[in-house]
Amino acid sequence: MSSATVSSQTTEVSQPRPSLQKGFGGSPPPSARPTPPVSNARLGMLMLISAETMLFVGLVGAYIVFRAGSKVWPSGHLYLPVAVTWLNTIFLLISCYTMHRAIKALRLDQHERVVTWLSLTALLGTIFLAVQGYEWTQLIRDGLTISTGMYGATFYTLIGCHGLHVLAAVVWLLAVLVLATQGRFSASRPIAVEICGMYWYYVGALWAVLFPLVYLN
Amino acid sequence: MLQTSQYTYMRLRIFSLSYWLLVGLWGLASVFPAAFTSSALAQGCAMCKTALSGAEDPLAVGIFWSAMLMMSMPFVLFASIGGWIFYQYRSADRPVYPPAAVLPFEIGSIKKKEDLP
Repeated sequence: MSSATVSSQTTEVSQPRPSLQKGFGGSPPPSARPTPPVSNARLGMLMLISAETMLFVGLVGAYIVFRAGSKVWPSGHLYLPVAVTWLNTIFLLISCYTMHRAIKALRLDQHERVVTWLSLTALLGTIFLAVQGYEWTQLIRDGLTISTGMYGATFYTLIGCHGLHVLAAVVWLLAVLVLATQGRFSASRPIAVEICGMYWYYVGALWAVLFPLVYLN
Repeated sequence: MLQTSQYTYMRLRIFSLSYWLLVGLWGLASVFPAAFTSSALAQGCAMCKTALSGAEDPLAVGIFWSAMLMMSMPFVLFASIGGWIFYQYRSADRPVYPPAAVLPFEIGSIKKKEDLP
């Protein structure tokens, strides 16, 4: 084999074939593909939120039927702690604002502010859960349990389901916070914080519907 | 075991004329009895009719609003999320225009074109 043949073969190997340049199956390589306007992560989160909405709509529908069918609601001498829950509602709504500030800071690549705002959000979410837990202990002490009657069953199911969602959101937020302290997010990689924020807004908006329905109605 | 060509054949059969004729006949058969028994149209579920005393019954009102909420929510979700996704795609396709030209004369705080760096 002559040296000219060897050199031509080397040149041929070093240059990728046209089919490989286009990517497997003729489509452009991943780096060349245009970014979709709605990312898969956002789409997935929207689907999750839709499913959660249908769950809560079912629970609210049952609540409306039982509420309309009962002559006395809530039963007996029971009074819900509306003032404390108003305060709790304000905490949750403020936490939505702090989450918004965290996402805004992330888009500006201000890492220290991201950690600060996320920490504040997690703290406010934890306060919400703690106050709600305290409120529940008071209600149980007053004699309202899940087996007391239709009111107790619907109240604890609806509010408890929301509380579980807030708990899940706080756990998720803490995981995001740990990753944010390690500098894993930036203006070019914000999606994990953004979808956590979407879920947090959803939980806050849900409470803005449930609170007037259950406590102020 | 079905081969690929057989799968293709089965898939194509779904869009055949006989399939749609069958669907049409089934739809007519469903609507036909209702068309000739108009008194049965507005009675609703037999169990609800038995359980509720009338339209003024608070429970009937509760069931009405509950059913309305649960029936409308999938449409609301589909429309809002679908509308948002449609808007995002339309916004992405929109051309980005260059910034507007600076006026050649001064109005208030607007600088002259010549004064700009």
